[in-house]
Amino acid sequence: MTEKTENTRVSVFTSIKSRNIAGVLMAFVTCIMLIPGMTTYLPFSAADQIAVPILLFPFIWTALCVYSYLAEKVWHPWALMLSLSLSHGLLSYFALTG
Amino acid sequence: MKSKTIKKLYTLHSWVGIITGILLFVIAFTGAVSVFGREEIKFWTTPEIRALAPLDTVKVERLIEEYSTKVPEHYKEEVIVFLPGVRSSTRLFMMFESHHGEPQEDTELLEGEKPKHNPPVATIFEFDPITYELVEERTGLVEELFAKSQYDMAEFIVGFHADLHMGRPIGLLTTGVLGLTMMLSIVTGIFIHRKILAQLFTFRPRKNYSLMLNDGHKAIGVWGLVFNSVIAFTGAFLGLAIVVLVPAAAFVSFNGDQEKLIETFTAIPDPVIQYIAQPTSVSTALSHAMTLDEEGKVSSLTIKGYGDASAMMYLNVSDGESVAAQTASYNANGEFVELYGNFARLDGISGAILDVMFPLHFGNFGGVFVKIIWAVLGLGTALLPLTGLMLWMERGVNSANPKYSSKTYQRFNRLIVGGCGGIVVATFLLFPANAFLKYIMVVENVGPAIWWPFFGSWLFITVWAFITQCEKRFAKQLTILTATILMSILPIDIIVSGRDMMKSMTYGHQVSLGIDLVCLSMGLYLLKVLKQFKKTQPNSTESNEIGVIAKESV
Amino acid sequence: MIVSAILIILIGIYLLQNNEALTKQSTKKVASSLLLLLSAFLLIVEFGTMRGIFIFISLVSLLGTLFTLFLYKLKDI
Repeated sequence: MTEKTENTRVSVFTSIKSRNIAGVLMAFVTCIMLIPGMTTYLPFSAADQIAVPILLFPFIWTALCVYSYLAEKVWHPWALMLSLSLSHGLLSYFALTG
Repeated sequence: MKSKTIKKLYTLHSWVGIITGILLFVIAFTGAVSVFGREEIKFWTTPEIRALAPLDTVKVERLIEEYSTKVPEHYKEEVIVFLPGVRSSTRLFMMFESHHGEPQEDTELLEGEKPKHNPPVATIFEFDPITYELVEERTGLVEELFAKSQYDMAEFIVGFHADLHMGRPIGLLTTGVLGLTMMLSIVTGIFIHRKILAQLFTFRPRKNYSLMLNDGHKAIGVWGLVFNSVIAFTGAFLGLAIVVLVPAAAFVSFNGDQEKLIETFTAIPDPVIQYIAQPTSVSTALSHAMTLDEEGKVSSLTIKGYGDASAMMYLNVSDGESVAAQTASYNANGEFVELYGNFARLDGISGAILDVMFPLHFGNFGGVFVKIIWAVLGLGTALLPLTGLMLWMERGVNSANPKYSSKTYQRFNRLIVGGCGGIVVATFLLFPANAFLKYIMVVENVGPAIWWPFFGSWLFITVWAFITQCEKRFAKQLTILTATILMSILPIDIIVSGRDMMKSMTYGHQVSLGIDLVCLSMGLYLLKVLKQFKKTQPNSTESNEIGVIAKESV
Repeated sequence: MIVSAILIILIGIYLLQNNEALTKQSTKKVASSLLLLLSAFLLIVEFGTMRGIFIFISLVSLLGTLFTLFLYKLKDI
């Protein structure tokens, strides 16, 4: 019979599930919220105001994803992304409602 | 950088690679092949267009004039012509389109109600590229007309790379997200490879298998860093733009009206119709556009306000001296107005960046020479996740404290052999399959039929990889099969077009022969590598792996 | 001109390496940089500025990769 050896590995990440959700899903949602929000304040021409956030999307997502995993405390990236989403969501709302 | 941070980045790099590696190989490999989708592979699949005479611009003008009388007046809102032998067109394609659909009955609108429009309708005429005789005519909704359009392996492989033939939004989302994860892999890879410049030329294939994989992965990763970054970024953009980014951007700026946003960025403005009848000098415009750029090719022509003094003609010039495709505009008299990039006419810097997205991703800005560079670098992009996966498995199996059981590693190995080996076989199988369906089965529309051999072979190979006793032997068998298919491409082409090929070595024939010879060389090279691999295997840990599996099964 | 540019890039890459690692000699690094600049110039003349730069970067990637992967075979010669 094969002896079972205990897996004594320790994960390099704390709260891995939370970081996975933050890094993959929340980062994506945050970036989607950022795009319309950014169009309200970027000091560019009309076309650039729309196109620049679209072009920045991949870089912002990558940065948020890496930060989600590297941050010491798991609540830091959540706080950052929630505040970014909320602020840019409000900017979009005010822009739409005038 | 702290070692803990490096460890985290390494773990993240590994996970992303394990989860997305096989799919990334599939996309990158088919991407490398689809660089030649328009029009090199098209020349191979359609020998009839390899030796076309120079376009008879006068004939084109007369055909537009003749067939414009056969369609309702509102169908002349926009006339689109695709020229044969350029990009994907095999025939002279002419479409008379009404954007606003069939006229509505006059009804009173309620306050705040927008006028309703029927969906766009069109009549399409297709002409033989040699005789200019009418081959096909069809009328209907634009969406339906294009859904039923004919295509073959050239469009199939490009479409598969773009969205895995899963359509919008799932297919585009998948490939777009894969571009994002590729960017993540690149960023984490840069940070974890500490001796990035010192080991720039390090490749030790004769020391041991693990070192060969490690050095190979790093060499391809470092040298291809700029290229892979561009591919990842442009791939993410092109995949996500229509599905996610444009809707999000339109949310505030255009009150969610995506079509309005797209129109603002891309649409050709409608001329103000003067209701003064005047022939539209298509021939003059076409002839001039063909001389605008020495290297450029005119692929299409759009006419707005046909038959009116205010008519405008817009000709698409691609593969020219500019990186991005250009639009040359002409007035009704055929006089040149201006030449511009499709997005460059927008204010700001983003227009120039948007213009180069597609050319930088597909390498279609410098003729066949640049396409060859892009295809080979694309194969490197495909090898990157593959070597990474193999390295991960090699380290896992030989680790003193493996994270997973050896059976798990073996199953994963089978998935790699089946998934990656299968897509290679399925892709090259498209060549003989296309010829078989077109010339033996005489299928009218090869495109839909070609799904069967492609997905069927891929699925069969993937399943067989799990059933077979020894997946390593199966991998070798797949290599032989791939080599055989590659070596069959030249004889197939000779059978299909042999005498024509010998008559005149036109550009189309040269390209097709180039494809044949490259495939033949690749096939022979695969057999040579296989023979050498059998003779001189480096100190491999494969025997260790088999030993471990054998031990556990007792 | 394209062939010359490719050959110059290859020489430039060859000068950059020393015993399967990046060379530490500054003269070789400078010579290599100058050769790569020359090849970039040739490609810009041939293809235009934007296209030339993109083609230069991609050629360096391609030739560098192939050179590194086949360097061990050159040592057998």
